[in-house]
Amino acid sequence: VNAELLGPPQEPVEWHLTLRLLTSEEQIRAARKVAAMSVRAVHGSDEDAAAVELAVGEILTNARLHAYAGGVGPVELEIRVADQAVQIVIHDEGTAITSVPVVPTAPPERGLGGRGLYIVGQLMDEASVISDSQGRGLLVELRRRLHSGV
Amino acid sequence: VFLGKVYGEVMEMSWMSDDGFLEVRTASGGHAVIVTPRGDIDLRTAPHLERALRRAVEEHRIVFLDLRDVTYIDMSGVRAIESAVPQGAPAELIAVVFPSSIVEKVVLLAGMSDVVRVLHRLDDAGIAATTARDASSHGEKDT
Repeated sequence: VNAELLGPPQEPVEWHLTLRLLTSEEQIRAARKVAAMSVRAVHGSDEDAAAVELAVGEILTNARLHAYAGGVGPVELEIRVADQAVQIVIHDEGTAITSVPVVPTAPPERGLGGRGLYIVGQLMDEASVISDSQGRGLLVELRRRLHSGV
Repeated sequence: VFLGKVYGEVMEMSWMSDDGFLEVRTASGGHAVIVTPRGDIDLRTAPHLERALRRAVEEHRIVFLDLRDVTYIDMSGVRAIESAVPQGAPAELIAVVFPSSIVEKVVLLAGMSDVVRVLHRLDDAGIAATTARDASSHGEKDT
């Protein structure tokens, strides 16, 4: 077989990226754009990239507002793309809270909070919030199946 | 063009956020104004939109918020829009125009359709008629 006819070797469609960032407005913006680009890099659709960017931006903004009382603190963002799906884990190190937020499945009333988390839940196939086993903040785990944008 | 067709003379203004990620343009004529943000509406830039929108709401009876050039909007942006709309404002005060699928989802999932009217085309016939009727009833030029 003529190798030239086969074209360049196909790269495996996998992506694993870990970012450590602070919850400054600029770093939140940069991180969500990296998340969107990660989806595009594996030929996810524009809709996939936009949904992932929004989910990551919303969760990081929540970390800033709630884990760090509107200030700046450390967050780890893990993005893993494999098997036509993107999995994201966002881990803050904020003050331990007594009740872990639940991702709402129905739209919360305006003014009661939780609308951002509700939107994230609607855009992802899976979304959950758990407390860190060592008592160091919260982990938000997200998963979305990707649809080819090619 | 839309406002000019309905009201005649149009005044345009533009503001850029300090980080350059959001530009907000307004085009006003008679009792109506079109507010057009272009770029990302996030925690950093949402106050910029809120200021422009609040001013538009205070000075005009009909406000179109054209989200066609918005590349990102999260709850910071949603809250900015809601904050600019006074409690109990008439439903026709603000109409949101958007073609982007993700912006549409955010607006609808956030429950903003309770506060604003949602349009897919600025020159929607019904809206043009409403605006023209409003202009006519207030003695504005209707060309």
